[in-house]
Amino acid sequence: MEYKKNLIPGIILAAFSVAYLGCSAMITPFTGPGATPLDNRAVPWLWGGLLLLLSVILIVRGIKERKAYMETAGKKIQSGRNLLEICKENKEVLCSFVFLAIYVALMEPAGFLISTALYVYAETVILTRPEKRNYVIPIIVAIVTAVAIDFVFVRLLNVLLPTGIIGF
Amino acid sequence: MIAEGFASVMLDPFVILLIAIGVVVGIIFGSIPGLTATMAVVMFLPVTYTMTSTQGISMLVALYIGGISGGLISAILLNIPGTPSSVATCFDGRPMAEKGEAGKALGTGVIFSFIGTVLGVLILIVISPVLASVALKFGPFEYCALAIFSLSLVITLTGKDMVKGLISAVLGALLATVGLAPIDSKPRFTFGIVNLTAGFKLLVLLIGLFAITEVVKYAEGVRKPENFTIEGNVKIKGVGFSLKEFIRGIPNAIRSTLIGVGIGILPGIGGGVSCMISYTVAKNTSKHPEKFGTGIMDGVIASETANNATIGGAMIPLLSLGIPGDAVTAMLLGGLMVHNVSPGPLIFQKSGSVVYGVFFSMLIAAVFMCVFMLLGMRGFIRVLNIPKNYLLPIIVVLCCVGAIGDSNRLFDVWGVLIFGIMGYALIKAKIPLSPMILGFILGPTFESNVRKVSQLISRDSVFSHPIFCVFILVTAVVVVISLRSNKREREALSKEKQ
Repeated sequence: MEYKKNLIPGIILAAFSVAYLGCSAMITPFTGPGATPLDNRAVPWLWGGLLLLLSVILIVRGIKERKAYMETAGKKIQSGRNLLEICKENKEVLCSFVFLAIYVALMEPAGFLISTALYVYAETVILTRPEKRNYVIPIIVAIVTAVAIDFVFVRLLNVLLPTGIIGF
Repeated sequence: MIAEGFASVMLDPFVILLIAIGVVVGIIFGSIPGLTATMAVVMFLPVTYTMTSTQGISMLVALYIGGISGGLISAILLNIPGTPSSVATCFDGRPMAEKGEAGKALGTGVIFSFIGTVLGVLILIVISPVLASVALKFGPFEYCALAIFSLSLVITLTGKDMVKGLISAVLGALLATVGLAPIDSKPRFTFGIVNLTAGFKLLVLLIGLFAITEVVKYAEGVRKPENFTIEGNVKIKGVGFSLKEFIRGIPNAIRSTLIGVGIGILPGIGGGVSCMISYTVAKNTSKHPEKFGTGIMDGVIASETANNATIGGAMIPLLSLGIPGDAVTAMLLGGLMVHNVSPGPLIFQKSGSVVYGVFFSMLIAAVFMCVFMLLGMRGFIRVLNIPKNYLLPIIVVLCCVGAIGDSNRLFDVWGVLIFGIMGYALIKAKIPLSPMILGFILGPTFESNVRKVSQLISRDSVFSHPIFCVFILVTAVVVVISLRSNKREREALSKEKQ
C-alpha cells in the first residue's frame, strides 16, 4: 500500500500549510520607513503557498495510486492494521521517543546526573535485542556514563547543565 | 595569515593531539554502520566549546575526515557501507575480500582515500580564497539569486522524487521563519513564547534530524536478525599493492578527485552521490568494464578517492559563501558559528589565521588517517563488534549536552525531540532530510536579500547586476533540464510497471 506514503503525508502537510498560512495572516505588517509590498508576511506566504501546492500534488498522486491499487487488488482495500498493533510492533521506537521526552522533562527537576543515568539505563535496555536483554550491566554503564559526562562537561569544561533540586 | 595559521596548528601539541583523537574517533564512527561522520561531529561539538577556534574546528574537521574514510572498513569486510559515502566501495571491495584480497582492498582504500583528501584540500586551498574574493562583490541581488540557484540545485539533485525534495526544502525554509523577521525584527510565529523569539537553532535541527532519527532507526530494527559476518582474517603487507598497480591507478584517482570535488561544491549532494558517479565513470571509461563488480582495484580507487575528495569540495562553498555542501558541513557550519567564525566572503579577512589553520589541520588529519588505518586496521576491525545498544544512548546524551551548551537553555533539548519526531515521520514518508537543512540555511538568506532588493529595485535595475542575471539564467536551465529528466524517468518507470 505504497499510496499511503503519499496520501497521508500529503493530507498532514496540507493541514499544516493551511494552519501556517492562517498564522501568516496574523503577522503584524511592517509599515515603517522603507516599507515595500514585499513585507514581513510575503515570504511566509510564499513558503506556505508552495507547501500547500506540493501537498496537493502529493494528495493527487496518492489518490491516483490508490485507484490503481484498488484496480489491481480487485476493488478491495485490505483493512489496515489497527493502531494498537502498529504501536506493539514499534514498541522500541515509541519507547525511545517517550524515554527521551521523560529525560528532557526530568532534567530540570531531577538534575542532569540523575536523569542521564535513568535515561541511559532505560534506553540501553530497550535497544538491546529482547533475547539478550540484561538488566544489570546497563545499570553500571548508566552510572559510569552519567558520572563521566557530568565530570567532563561540568567540572572540566565548565558547561552549565541543570543541577536539579538535589543540587547535582 | 598563512604563517599564523601554520604556527597555530604545528606549534601547539594539543591541536595535534586533538586531530589524532578526532581522526581515530571519526574512523570508528565511520566504520560502524549506522554511525556517521555527522554524528561524530555533533557528539564532539560540546567538547570543543571551551577550546580555541583553531583547536575546536581542527578537531571537528579531523572527525569529518576520519568519519568519511572509516566507511571503507565495513564496506569491504561486511559488505555494508559504514557511511553512505562508501556505498560504491562495496561493489568491488567485498568481492576482493571474498577472493582473499581483503588486505589489498583495505590498503587501496586507505591510500586512495588519503590521496583524495589531500588533492581535495589542495583544491580547496586554491579555490576558496578566489571564490571568497569574487563573493565580496556580491550584494543583495547576487545573494538573492545565489539562494535561488542553490535551492534549485537541491530540489533537482537530491533524489528521484522532486516533489518530496522540494517539500523538504520548503519545510526547512518555513521553520526558519520562526522568530524575528529580517530587516524589521517583527516577531513571527512565536505565539508569545519568549524562547521562540530567537528562532530555532541550526544545531538543534541537525541533531534532531540526523542523530535522533539514527537512534530510532536502530530501535526499529532491534528485533530483526543481524546476518553478516566480519572478515576477520586480514593481513596487509606494506600497503597491500605494488608500485606498478599504484601508478596504473593514478589517472583514475585524478579523475575521481575532480568528480568528488565538483560534486562536493554543489549544495545538497554528498559523498554518497560522488562515489557512485565516480564509480560509474571509471567503469564506463575502463578498457575492461566487465571486470567491475568482480573485485578489481579500480572500483575501490574510484569510490574511495571521490568520496574523500568531496570533503575538500564541500568545504569550498561552506567557507567562501556560508553554504554547506552536505549534512556534515552543515554541522561544521554550526561548529564554526559556535567558535565565532562566520563563514562567507569576509572569512579570510576576519578569521584568516583560523581558516589557514583548518587547512593545515585537514592535511595533518589526512596523514594521521592514512597511518592509523594502515597500522591499526586490526583494532578498527574489532571496533565493528562494539554493541550499539550501549553506544547510541550515550550519543543522545552528548547531543543533548551539545544543544544545552550552545545557548544554555533546556528549550533546545525539547527542540531536539520535536525535530527527531519530525525527521522520523519524514523518513517514513520517504521525504529526504538533507534539502531541509539547505532550506533552513538559505531561506533567511533569500528572504533578507529579496526584501532588500525590493527596496533597491526602484533606483537599481537588475540588468546592472550581471552575476544576478547569470545565476537566474543558470537556475532556469537547471530547472528545465531537471524537469525533463524527471519526466523521462517517470515515463520509464511507468513503462516498466506496465
